[in-house]
Amino acid sequence: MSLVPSGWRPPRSVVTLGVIVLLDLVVDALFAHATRTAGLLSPGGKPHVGVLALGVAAIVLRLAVGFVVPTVAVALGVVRLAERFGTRRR
Amino acid sequence: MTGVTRARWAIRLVAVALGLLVTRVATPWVAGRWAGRWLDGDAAMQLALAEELIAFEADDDAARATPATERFAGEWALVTHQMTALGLAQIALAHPEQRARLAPEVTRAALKSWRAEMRGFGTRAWGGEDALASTGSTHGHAYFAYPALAVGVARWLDPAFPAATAREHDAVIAAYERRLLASPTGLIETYPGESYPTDCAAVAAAIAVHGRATGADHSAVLARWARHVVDTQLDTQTGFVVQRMGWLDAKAHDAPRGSGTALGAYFAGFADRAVARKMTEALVAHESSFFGFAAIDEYGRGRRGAGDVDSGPVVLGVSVTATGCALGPLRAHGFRADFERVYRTTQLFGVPWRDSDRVRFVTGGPIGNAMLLAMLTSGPELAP
Repeated sequence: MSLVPSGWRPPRSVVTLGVIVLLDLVVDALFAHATRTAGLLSPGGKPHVGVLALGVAAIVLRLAVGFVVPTVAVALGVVRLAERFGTRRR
Repeated sequence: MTGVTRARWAIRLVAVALGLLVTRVATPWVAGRWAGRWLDGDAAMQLALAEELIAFEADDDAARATPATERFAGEWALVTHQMTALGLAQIALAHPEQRARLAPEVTRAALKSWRAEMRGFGTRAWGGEDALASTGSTHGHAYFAYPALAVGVARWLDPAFPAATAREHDAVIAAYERRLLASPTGLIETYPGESYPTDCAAVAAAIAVHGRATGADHSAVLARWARHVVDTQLDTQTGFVVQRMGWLDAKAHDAPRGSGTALGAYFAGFADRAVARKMTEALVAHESSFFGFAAIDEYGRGRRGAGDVDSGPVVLGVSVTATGCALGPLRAHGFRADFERVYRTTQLFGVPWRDSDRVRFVTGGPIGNAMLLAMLTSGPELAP
């Protein structure tokens, strides 16, 4: 017995949200690694542009995962539930 | 618009509202889940960040032993070593069982902040006059209070602190006491003709901690400094500390600002609890919040300005330094709800990362982590 019907595919919106969350985890890990090995700045204070760019990407993704992803996920879920409920009633 | 279309739009609106509601509850909860542990002085939490800074100091020692072309020196390095010493000392005070292990680490970081290469920026500003070599001078050299405070806490905690540096420290503190008592404004210069009340708060903190380390009575100079802070250095409208002033006439050379107030409140806490609390209340009054996340404004109402080396970036009116440094006074003076909101912002933008037994805020770099260590453990250092 399977919980997921055969041939079922997750909606594209769910996949997109999942990819954003996954990307956030990966970029956080890459950023942490880059700051450990190269640092944001050299000991003399020169910025490492690549690491800083990774940091900007990490923060943008964190904002997306913190605010956009849960809002969109809940909203889509509610709309889908309402549609399903409406179809059954009809 | 048909009834079906209207119903669809209504469902979509309700769905978005529900989504926002869930985000309003869940996201601050996730971002603030460590705030309570920091507030309650969780030893595991504090030691995890402490281990990161201890490892940084060890790496820094190793780098110094090699013929590198670039050295970690100057103003940022000075503050990094100073804040590491202060943070570790606060943990040792809060958890006395850690004192024997942490005291030598406090001394190591404090002694590095004391090095001549760290204060080179100040020596250059005074035309080559070194703060340590000119204790008989009337020049303020207030920037040197940062390492003097670090050395003070190391002397307070570490019975094996080197005697030669302790003698130098005594001379520096005596100079600061004499200069502050002679000042008509309670201010002394950081650079020629310029005084920063925040640096003067660090001077007061260094004097106060010297008293705790040696038993010397500095109550007269500290009481005088506290009176001057309230009378001339705090802006009557905003409660913020004026960022830069003339040391002889106490005229404002810059606006009252959040960054100077937040760091000043932390330093003031070592010397005078009431003054520090007054500054902290000004920070709370200038807290901007959104969706359960808060940050501290750099300027009071009606003023605007760009970020600089003191404030860091100013985005939507709030500054990185004011926000990060506010955590210390908010924790120390028991503003729990405000601490939690500001901490959530730190967690969101700081990108905390755990490596085995160590935790660090990835966007902070060494200076950010050292400052957060001092701020997130602030409290045990407060003046009685």
